[in-house]
Amino acid sequence: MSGTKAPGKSPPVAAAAKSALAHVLSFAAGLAAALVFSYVLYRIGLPSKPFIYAAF
Amino acid sequence: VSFTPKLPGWLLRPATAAAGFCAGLAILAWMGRQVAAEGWHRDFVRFHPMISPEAQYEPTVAEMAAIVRSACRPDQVLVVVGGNSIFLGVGQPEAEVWTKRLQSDLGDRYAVVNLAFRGASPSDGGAVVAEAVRKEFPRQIYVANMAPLESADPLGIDTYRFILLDAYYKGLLLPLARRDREIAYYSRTLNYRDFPEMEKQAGARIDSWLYFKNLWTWYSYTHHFTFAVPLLPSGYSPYEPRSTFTDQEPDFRSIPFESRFDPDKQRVDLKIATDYTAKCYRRLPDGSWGRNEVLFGFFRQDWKDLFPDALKPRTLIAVSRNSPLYTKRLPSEILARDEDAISGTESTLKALGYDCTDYGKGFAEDDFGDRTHLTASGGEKLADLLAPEIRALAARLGYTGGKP
Repeated sequence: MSGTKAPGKSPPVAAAAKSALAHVLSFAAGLAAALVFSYVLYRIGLPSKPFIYAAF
Repeated sequence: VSFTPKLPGWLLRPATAAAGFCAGLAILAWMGRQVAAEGWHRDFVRFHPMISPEAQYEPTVAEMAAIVRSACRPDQVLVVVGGNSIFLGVGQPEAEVWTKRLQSDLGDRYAVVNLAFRGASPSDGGAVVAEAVRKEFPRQIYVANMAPLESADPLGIDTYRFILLDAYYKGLLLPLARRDREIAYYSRTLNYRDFPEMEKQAGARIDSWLYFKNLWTWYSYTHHFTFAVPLLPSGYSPYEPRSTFTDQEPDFRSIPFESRFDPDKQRVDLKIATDYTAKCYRRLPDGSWGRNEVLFGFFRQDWKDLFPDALKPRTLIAVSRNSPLYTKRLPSEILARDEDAISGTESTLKALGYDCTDYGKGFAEDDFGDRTHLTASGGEKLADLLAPEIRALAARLGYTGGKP
């Protein structure tokens, strides 16, 4: 039965491509989450109101 | 009809996403270190309001160290100016700020960097940065101002504590018993009133691993400020990079005398001038003022604990006086009390190992823009007065081969 596909299953190449895509997108999502996390750490560390100083 | 987009399950690989998250943090931390090493200020003069906490811009220690590095050659004596708005040069336009005059008076053997901040104490801002760069710039002098008998905390004031904690958690400071004890207390306090302080410390500790403050402060200065702030000069967008904002410090001389010294303000300032040194004195039966030795003792102890012993000899404190517009109206016993407080401050600090002087005596009314801040002419007189003190101190410390 070579050259025929099992019903409901992707060919091995397509499955590998799908897996690689999943890894790339997951890694990119992790990078984006790190960027957001870094910004949030910076932002919450700043005072919510500016320092008011009046010399004259 | 509602529609909820659903990510196909095969798309998310949690382990890979976690690896991406960790790699992302590592890359951002590396970037934070890199940008700080290079610095991002060009032709820095001072921290004007748009690059200070007044506009929610909090400069990092690495950023200020880079400013020092770009200003001071290895063969020069570094002079870091700290202190409050008087030494920042409030009321003096950028071109005539007193530290430029000080640089000109001292000449090329010295490099003057103004790291003063509005409302700061002598142990804030510039003091922390000077301590943090002490190994790189061992020939350094730190200059700051204070009121007579003014106490200060080794943690500085709340507004500028982020600078101290930044340096502390990056391991840039010397051991200092009271400072270390207070930081240790706040790091594990169970008192809910101190939780904001504990949060600040947690943030500084995480930043010592991830360097996010350097990265985003650099981004805010060079590319894009990411949120709106309430106080802005007209004609600017709040999201513009902070590098586009210029120093718009007004010139006292352009503000009419009647506006700077309206009757209400004069009344308030005369009261402040009258009570300038009262807190450390008590009235004697004959109407004169005697020292409150207990409070003098507290003042002495505070300054004993304020700086590491190794840094006291290179620290020059200048004691501020009030404008003659007010002092000329004070009775002789209060003037005598103020003089005693100034001489008491100087002798106490010198006995503790600091260098100390005072300024303002003989200054004219035009040298002051208000009760305490100096006009450009007052700034010139201040610079001319401090320059020989700094040269003499540099000679005593062996920075200039014993020559003033």
